[in-house]
Amino acid sequence: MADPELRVLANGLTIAYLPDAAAPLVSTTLWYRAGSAHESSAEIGIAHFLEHMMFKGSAGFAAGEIDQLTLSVGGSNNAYTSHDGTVYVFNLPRDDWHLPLEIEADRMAGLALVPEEVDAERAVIEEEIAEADDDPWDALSMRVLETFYDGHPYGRRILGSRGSLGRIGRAELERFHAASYAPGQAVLTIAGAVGPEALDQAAEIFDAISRPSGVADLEAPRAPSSLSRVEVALGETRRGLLAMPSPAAATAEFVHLRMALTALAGGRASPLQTRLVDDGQLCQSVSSELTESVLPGVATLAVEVIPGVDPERVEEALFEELARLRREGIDSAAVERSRRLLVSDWLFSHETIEARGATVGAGLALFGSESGSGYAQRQYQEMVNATGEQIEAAARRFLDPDSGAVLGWAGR
Amino acid sequence: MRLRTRRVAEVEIAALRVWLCGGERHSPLAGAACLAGRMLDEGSKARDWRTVATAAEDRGISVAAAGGYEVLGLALDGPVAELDRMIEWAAELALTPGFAPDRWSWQRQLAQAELAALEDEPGAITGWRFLDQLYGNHPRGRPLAGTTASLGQLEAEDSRQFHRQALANGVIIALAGAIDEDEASRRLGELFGSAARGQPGPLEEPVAPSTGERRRRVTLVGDQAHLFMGKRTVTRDHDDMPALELAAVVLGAGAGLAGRIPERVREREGLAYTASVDTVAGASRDEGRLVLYAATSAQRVDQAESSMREELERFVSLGATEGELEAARSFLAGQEIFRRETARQWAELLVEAEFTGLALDSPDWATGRWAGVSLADVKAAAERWLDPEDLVVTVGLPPESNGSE
Repeated sequence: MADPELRVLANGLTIAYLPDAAAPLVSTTLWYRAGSAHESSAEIGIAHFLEHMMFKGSAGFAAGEIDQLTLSVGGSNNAYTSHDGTVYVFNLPRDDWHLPLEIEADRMAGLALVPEEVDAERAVIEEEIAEADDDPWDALSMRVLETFYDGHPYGRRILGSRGSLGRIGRAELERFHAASYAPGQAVLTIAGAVGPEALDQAAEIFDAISRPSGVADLEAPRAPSSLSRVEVALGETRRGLLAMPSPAAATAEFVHLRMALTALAGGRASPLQTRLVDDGQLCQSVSSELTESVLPGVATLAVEVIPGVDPERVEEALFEELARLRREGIDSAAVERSRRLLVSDWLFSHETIEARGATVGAGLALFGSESGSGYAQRQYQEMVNATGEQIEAAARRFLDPDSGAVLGWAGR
Repeated sequence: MRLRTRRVAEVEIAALRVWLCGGERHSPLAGAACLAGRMLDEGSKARDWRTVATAAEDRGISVAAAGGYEVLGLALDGPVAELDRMIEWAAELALTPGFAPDRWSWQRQLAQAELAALEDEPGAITGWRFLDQLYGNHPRGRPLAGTTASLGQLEAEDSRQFHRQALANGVIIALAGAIDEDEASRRLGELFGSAARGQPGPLEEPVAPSTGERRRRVTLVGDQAHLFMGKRTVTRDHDDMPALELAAVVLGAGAGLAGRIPERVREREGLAYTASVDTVAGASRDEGRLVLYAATSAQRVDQAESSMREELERFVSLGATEGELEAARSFLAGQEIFRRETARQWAELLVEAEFTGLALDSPDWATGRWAGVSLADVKAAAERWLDPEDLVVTVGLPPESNGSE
């Protein structure tokens, strides 16, 4: 992936321009280094609430108009809130590349936050919460992470709760927007079939916005020091989630741990898949995930148990395979398999212009990348160069539930 | 065998799709196609599943197989340097699958477990009941994977026989990526050349019976209500298809929350987080369907129903505005660019285009269909297919709820 051209405006906004003429389209992302971990404990859910309100009116765009404009030029848009940040995405045919810049600048400058719109959107988010509450995986993962992080903001529910949303109104949203959505907190990426004039025009559009940011740095969470268990009585199928510590995403160890998890559970031929699914026939699925977070986060293994199978047998097999990995390490064939699977996955996941732009934006906004593609390139190179010893060391350090983890079960 | 290829040179990868012409719609026993499809990556006559999986993962290749509504499908994605192997393995798995009895039993057990897990999702359960209400005992009316009971009635020989028939009906292949098209076509021709070209047949004409039940209540375990409203509409090659696609965008199938139904139900009234519309969902050789869906609270489900019904009535009686139609055209045309970005997208488009006989891979063809649709065409199609008086309604409600009935 090529390095983008970067410009930092006087107001602190970073703009990355990534020319790419592979298709006649453009993708923009605007990252704010403000997510649900930056909320006060009295306003849990406000970052996500604000994300919704960004579509509900600003000086230049009425409520609903952003979606209408996006539709009328043949594009799409979306937004996501994580614990570390919030991102707004537009994908458009190339001729309309300037539209998202005008929209983003307008809503960065300020929002209408009409009380009736705030109330209607609160009701929408309450329905979103109700949807998540009915979903066994959502309910289980929320409970496990809350326990794992033990009061740290990473354990917060991004959607908030009905109670916390009730305490958030126009004034609170306005304050959070002013402090968190200042230009110095933001990284804009423009990727696709657009000429270098985009950089100058973007600078001109955003240059007039100026205000200080007020997002405090977070302390790193403390990983649990023993194995604890939680239960969620939702659903008939037994679902299990084991959460173990992981390093921050912008570290070499993070990549080594990803390779260890892939060696353990990535692909049908991996030891955990064969033990639990194809040979053992205890589970219908096994998956692993590593949260890509600014601070140390969580590595998870998730299982869905075959009806009638005792979850204790699954738990025993899961812990045995983790112990085997730590004890016996990983042979060179497994290291190579993990590397090839991840390199393939990296190539496929960066096929679209949107994905390439998003990776650049995430690197600049969240993961300390100085050159735009630096974070992604570092991760890729670590993947290519990692040794068996490094991968084993990461497995021994992080994949040891008895040293600190949370195991949750859902189902009856 | 019929073959389409496309060079997509941006990334050094290749995407290969192999479709065998027969799916759940042709299956006398619900789930037979699903199981036949799942067996395609369970090993061949020459190698067992583990050998295949290990060899593929050692090379960074993913192999996936499934039984769909009209076809059995095999998908291989990997580095282009491994293309020769991908082609060989695809031929081996699609033409000579092993159907080892122990693996078939395991796949059946897995399919049953997956269905059981889906039963924990209130929206999925309500959706299945809605399909059943719309299509009766036609294959469209049942879950694609069958049911726990129907899977239990199947024998391994049913799946083996189903695969044989699908193979005899014809094989369609698409390959896209940083490939040498001539060389890849030659190799595919060598390995698949003897496979049949045709479409499945003879097929019974798919006139789905109506259950006659206008309104159905489903009791759910969750706290939310799930509301499905709809009716059968048109097949994918019907003349009204472009007008109904445009109508869907005007009603709410476009960008973000634009469109009459989400604007009313979510943005204005705050009734639901998920409020969606489609006018031709699942259209195939069989009729697709109008679906208006909202997940809302049990107390407000009646309001959601009447709001969605009012918007549909207004649309059918007054039609779209010129501005709405123009925006819908632009939206659909713009989205065509995004459907042609990656090797995998191209492979999917090409194989579907070859299967359906529609020029889905040509952006001009797609755009031209919508360009020729007038406001009067949209209104006429809406009157023919979206009549709000003719909707069936399925409501999934928590046990204690009094809503909707």
